[in-house]
Amino acid sequence: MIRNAILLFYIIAAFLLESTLFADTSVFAAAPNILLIITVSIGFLRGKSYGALTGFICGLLYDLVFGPVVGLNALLFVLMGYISGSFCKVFFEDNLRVPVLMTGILDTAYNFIIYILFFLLRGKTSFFLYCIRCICPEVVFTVIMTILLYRLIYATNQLFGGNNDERRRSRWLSS
Amino acid sequence: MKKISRIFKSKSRHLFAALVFISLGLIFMGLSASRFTGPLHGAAETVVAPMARGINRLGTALMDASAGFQDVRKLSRENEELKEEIAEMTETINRLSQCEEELTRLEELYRLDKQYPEYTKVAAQVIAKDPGPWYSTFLIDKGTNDGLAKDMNVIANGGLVGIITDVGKTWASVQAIIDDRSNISAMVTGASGTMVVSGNLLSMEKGTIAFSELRDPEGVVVEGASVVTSNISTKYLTGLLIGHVAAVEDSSNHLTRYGTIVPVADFRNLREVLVLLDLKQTKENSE
Repeated sequence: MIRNAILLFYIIAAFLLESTLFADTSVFAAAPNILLIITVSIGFLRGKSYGALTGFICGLLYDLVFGPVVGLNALLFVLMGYISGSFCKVFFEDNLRVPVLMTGILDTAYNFIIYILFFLLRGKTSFFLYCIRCICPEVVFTVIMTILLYRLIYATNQLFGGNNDERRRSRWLSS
Repeated sequence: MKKISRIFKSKSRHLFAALVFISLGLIFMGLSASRFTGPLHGAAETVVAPMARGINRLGTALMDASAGFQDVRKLSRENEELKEEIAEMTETINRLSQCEEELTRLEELYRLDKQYPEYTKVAAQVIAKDPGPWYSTFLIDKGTNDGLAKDMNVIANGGLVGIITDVGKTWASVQAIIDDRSNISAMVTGASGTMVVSGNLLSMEKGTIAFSELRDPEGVVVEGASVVTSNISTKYLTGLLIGHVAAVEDSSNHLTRYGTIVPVADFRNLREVLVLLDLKQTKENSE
């Protein structure tokens, strides 16, 4: 229970930080997608269910405040949480490379989908320019931020509860 | 409590499918009837807006504190410069007020209305910005409690900033004119034709937005001309300054012209904005 409350606190804090401090374009070139980091990390640490649910809360929060279409980010984040959750059973959670690689790939995919839905469909076809200007900076910042934040999320998770059932039931990781 | 833990013990696939369906449902409901998500907005508002405001206040306090440590000599020199500037400005103001008096006198003489009506304004602070790279949307700390409503125009630094797209009790979200989705009907002061000013994500790196569809067969519009919102725009009030023409070119069919505009408002350091409480009178909302 405490773990879930802390998770909720992390989500709100992350959302506030990324929309106030990190969104200040005079200081940072791009804002890291911290909600995505949390979704992917929780999915990876605690399995598909928690990943999907965390993703839903994060996506919905973003949608309600900024989203042009309410529900779209919720959908994408649920998918991302579920995908990262399916790696829960395959790797040990102290493996930093997996969440870093996963946030990199999923953030690229997420921005790619946003580009297709809201830019390509309106006839803005210069994909490489958008890639260099918008997608690349965000992915780089997000990956750097994952290296810092994953340890925090991992430590909090270990402190309140540790290994979860899904990982313990895993065929790959049981000793 | 037991129920919650049972949800997590059940097949994750079911939860996943349920969440996907809820999301899809929200998308379709939002697209068909946008006011359905009202209660959810209320929840987001009570959580996010006050905290964002708090962080914003903290940030401002920190910035003020760091500014306090600046070199005293630099500050005193700046003070001198500012005093000179004030002297100059007072002189200008005196001159301008004389001009204005003369203008009102002449206007009375000719029984003319003022060209631009005075709008009632409310000052608001920018408290949060869309963190993603795609949009230029930001939140301000005033909402329906202060008389704000959807489609009200927002200005800063004497230029148009954007339009309110969503409003809660104590917050409103503003879509900036540099946002890629923004399209405004505009005109050039002194020329007759209208044009479409559209935000452009790629050209915003260079600090410009695009305009197109300008009918200007005589080539009256030149670099540096002021671009204001046009009288035929349905959402933007007439005569708000958008920016100055930076470049203008003939389109390939030689019927219309296109080019770029440097906006007046400084979008990189947007802290305080003014919301114009007057809504554009259109056929729909006046009936």
